[in-house]
Amino acid sequence: MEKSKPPDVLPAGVSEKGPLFDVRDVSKRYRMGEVFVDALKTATFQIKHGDFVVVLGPSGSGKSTLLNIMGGMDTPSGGKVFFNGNDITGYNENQLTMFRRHKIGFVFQFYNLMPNLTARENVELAAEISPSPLDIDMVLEKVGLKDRSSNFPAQMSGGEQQRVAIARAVSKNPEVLLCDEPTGALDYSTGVLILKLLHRINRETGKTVIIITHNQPIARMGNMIIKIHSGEINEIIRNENPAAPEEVVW
Amino acid sequence: MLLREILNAKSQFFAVAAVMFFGITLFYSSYMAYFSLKESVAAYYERYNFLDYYAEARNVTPEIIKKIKEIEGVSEAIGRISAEINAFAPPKKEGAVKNAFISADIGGTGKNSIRKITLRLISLPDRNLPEINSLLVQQGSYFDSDNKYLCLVNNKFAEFYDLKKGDTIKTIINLRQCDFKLSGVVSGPEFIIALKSITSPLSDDFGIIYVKESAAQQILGYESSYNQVHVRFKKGADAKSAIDKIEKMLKPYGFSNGFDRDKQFSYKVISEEIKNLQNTALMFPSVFLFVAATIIYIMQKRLVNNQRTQIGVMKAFGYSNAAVLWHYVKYALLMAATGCVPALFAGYQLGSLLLNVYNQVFAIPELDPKIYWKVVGMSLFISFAFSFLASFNSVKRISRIQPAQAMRTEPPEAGRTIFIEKIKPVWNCFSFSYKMIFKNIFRNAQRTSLNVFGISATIMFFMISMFFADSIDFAFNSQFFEFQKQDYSVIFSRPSAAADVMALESVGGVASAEPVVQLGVEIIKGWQKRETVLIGLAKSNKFTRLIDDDLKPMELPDEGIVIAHMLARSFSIKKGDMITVKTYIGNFKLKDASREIIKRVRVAAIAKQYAGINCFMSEKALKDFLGEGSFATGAYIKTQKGRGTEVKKKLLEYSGIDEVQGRLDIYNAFMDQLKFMKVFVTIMIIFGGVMGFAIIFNSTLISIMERMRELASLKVLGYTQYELKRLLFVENILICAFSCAPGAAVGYLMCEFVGYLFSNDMFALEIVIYKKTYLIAFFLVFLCTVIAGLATGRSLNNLDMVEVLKSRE
Repeated sequence: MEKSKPPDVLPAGVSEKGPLFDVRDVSKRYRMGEVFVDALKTATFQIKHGDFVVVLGPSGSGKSTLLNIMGGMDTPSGGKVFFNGNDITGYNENQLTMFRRHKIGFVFQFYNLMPNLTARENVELAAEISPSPLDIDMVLEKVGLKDRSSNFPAQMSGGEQQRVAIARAVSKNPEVLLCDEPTGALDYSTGVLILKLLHRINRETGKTVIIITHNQPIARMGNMIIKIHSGEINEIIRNENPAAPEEVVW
Repeated sequence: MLLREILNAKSQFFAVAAVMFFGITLFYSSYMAYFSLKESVAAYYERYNFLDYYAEARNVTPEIIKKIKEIEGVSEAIGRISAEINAFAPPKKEGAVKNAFISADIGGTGKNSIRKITLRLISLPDRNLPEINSLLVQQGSYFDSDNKYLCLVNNKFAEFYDLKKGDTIKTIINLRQCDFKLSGVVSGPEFIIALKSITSPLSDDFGIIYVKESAAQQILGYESSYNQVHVRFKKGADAKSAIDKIEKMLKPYGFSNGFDRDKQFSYKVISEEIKNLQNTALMFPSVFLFVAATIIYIMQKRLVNNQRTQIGVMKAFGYSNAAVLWHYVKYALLMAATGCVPALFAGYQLGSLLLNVYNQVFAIPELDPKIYWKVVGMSLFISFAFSFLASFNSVKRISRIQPAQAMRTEPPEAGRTIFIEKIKPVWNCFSFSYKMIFKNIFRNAQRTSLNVFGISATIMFFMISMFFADSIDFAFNSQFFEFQKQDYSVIFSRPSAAADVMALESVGGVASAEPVVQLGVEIIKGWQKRETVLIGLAKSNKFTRLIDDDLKPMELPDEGIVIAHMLARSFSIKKGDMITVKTYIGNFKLKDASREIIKRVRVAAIAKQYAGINCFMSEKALKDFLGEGSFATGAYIKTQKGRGTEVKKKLLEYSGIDEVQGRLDIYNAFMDQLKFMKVFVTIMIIFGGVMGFAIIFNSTLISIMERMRELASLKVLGYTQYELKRLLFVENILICAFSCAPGAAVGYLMCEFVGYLFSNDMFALEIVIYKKTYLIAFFLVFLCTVIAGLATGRSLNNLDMVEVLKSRE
């Protein structure tokens, strides 16, 4: 993996270990027919190891674009993203794949599970390609699906499916979980369960969790809140007193 | 909208169109050749009054012919003389056209070579063309002077030796040389194909010479009499009762045999060819059409699934079921048209090529390519019918889609445990990625079955294409290398004492010789009869190896007859059965022959014979049958190494020797004819390859499109392009591997069926499929899979994770 030089001066709020993500002036411009759309305009921020980050913004604000770039699924039109000091924007296709494989765990709004694989197999699918996977049964137990491990997605509720998706993301033992509207397709109580789970993972394993949502109350959970609107970061808040998931109401 | 859909999936569209194209090309070309051949032959027979019935007798007088004409139902009757004679091969002229199918060059056909060939002499009226089996004068003229020794020859023979009006044909009749001056070159319905027999491919060794009746009668000693009667019946006449009367009438005149036209050699060959062509026209294209229909079915099923929401919206707007259905059916019909229309042109070209080959083999006037509108109509109909039925069956469920439901997200696909998972010890042996592959293979059982069907059909198609070559190769190799060991077969002018054969050993270059008797016989079992050759051999013969049904060598039994397995099969004769054997002793030469022998003989054994249906008897059995002492009609000889040609030339100089046939010459002549077969096999393999590619390519693309979201998810998880491609590729390879066994089994059964279709009472295909044919067929489908894998791999390169994962549908 190609390593780019880390920044010379540590920006404020970054530990000696360095930030996990260092996003500098990242922009994304799409061409839609004959017009250009600026999905993201010069986003700059840093995320520390172990942060619980909520990126908040309405639909179409550019938050998914930001998540995709940070997760190595998309490349920015301008700016740079450093992950543990490595410039991932300079990665080629193969390096990006390895980055996703080793460092990132994704959780999607619509779960994206393999319908013909059981819960356990869906988790195994991810663990299979990881160099240091977690024990699958242990992960399934943590997400409370030990007894449902041989069920197929179609036999599970939305909440259960999302828990499988989280287990799948966690089992690779990534450094960060990127969750795109993880409660978007769920009812309130199931949504809270999922938030609790993500919160617990963050607390117990120290893994960085980044949640993208349009749901304002969820933002209270983050120790870092990034508010985004029309492709621009309006506000970055360091929340000293994050709310517990059960306190979140919408 | 339709055009956009086609452009979106253009490679799939054209892959289906290509399969349709090849299917219709084959269909059109074979049907065009079939109709051309059938109609040209029928017209030829009609215009030139081809016989309905012919009888062989010894001395039929013109009065009898007159009486036969008076029989009710008979429209015309003629008498003529027919005999096999020898001639010196005409010197081959420089630049003479060498027929692709007449290329065996035995004994050297140099300018001054003296080589004996066999001619069939046929008498014709001195002045006018015959009323039956008339002739088309293609060059020169009919007998146009009072010269008694004028002759005509058939055009294939003339073509081979580049004979022109005025040339001399030197014949040997009754050991005397008799020269005829060539008056013209003709062709007639009686000799559309002029071969000595089905097992004798050496056409340059055989020709038809027509001479004046007066000359024939004089030279052959028929004083105003004939040895053949040809008859044509009135339309709708009771031929059977007329034939009974004719045969009764001919009895006192040495009647020996009577045959309908369907027993006539050339008629039989051409009828079989027409039948085979029709079988080809039905069989090969239908494989393509079924495969095209299968792909259309799978493709449109997926299209409807994918466009469920749009269908719902259309219906909500008030479009009728019929209107929506028509949209999809139209798509399939357009695929059919895209394949079918150019196929009509390609089919015409291929058909013309096929007719060109027929023109080289058969002498049929006006066998020219022409457009048959009925074939155009049939081609369009079947391509549209197949596409319509496949498409309609695939999309008919549109009518059951409720708009409101269709616009809602489809529930997730239900997963299930596959059967192999239940066999834990086996299942646990697989790595996770193989488990995933197996699950994907069994997840859509219908699709996998259709893929297996398509690939099996491709394997079957490859096997059928190659099986002809295998069977023929096996038959000829067995016949010419296993069963026959002599270098040359020598045929005497007259029967000699068996002991005389030993004299041949004194000819320089001859290593050994053994006597052989070859008799024309008729085998009769019940109502069935067949003419064949009875070969008499010394029990201790060295050159003929007989093999029984279990392919074990057997000894020539002291008593009874050994018959060929093909004859046994078609007459249902078993070992130990009694059959009737009929022959004319001394009938080797013309009319001095006479004694008819009909005896019941026990079948002592059944022997494998792949080229021909010869029967065998030991010297002793033959003596019992004929009641005559030991004699020989010829000899089998082995020559010293490298001296074959020299020996042959020497032997032909002996007046007592009519013919010297080289075993390898005959074998090579057969093999030469198989060049055409190789071209056929190559074309078929290319056609089959396109079919196999189209199946795998389409099903892989469909699979990718359906699983786009899943594949994108895997990519997000960190699966590399290579790993994704490998998953799909291994999946295809495994489906391909699953298809090998059913493909080979169906292929074998189809080869048997094809063998049965293409066999007739003159020729039976032994069902032999070499191991290498299976391996080549498997290799070719795997190759198709690899190529299809490479071709579909590109669509994975363009897999946009963000785009795919963004939307639910």
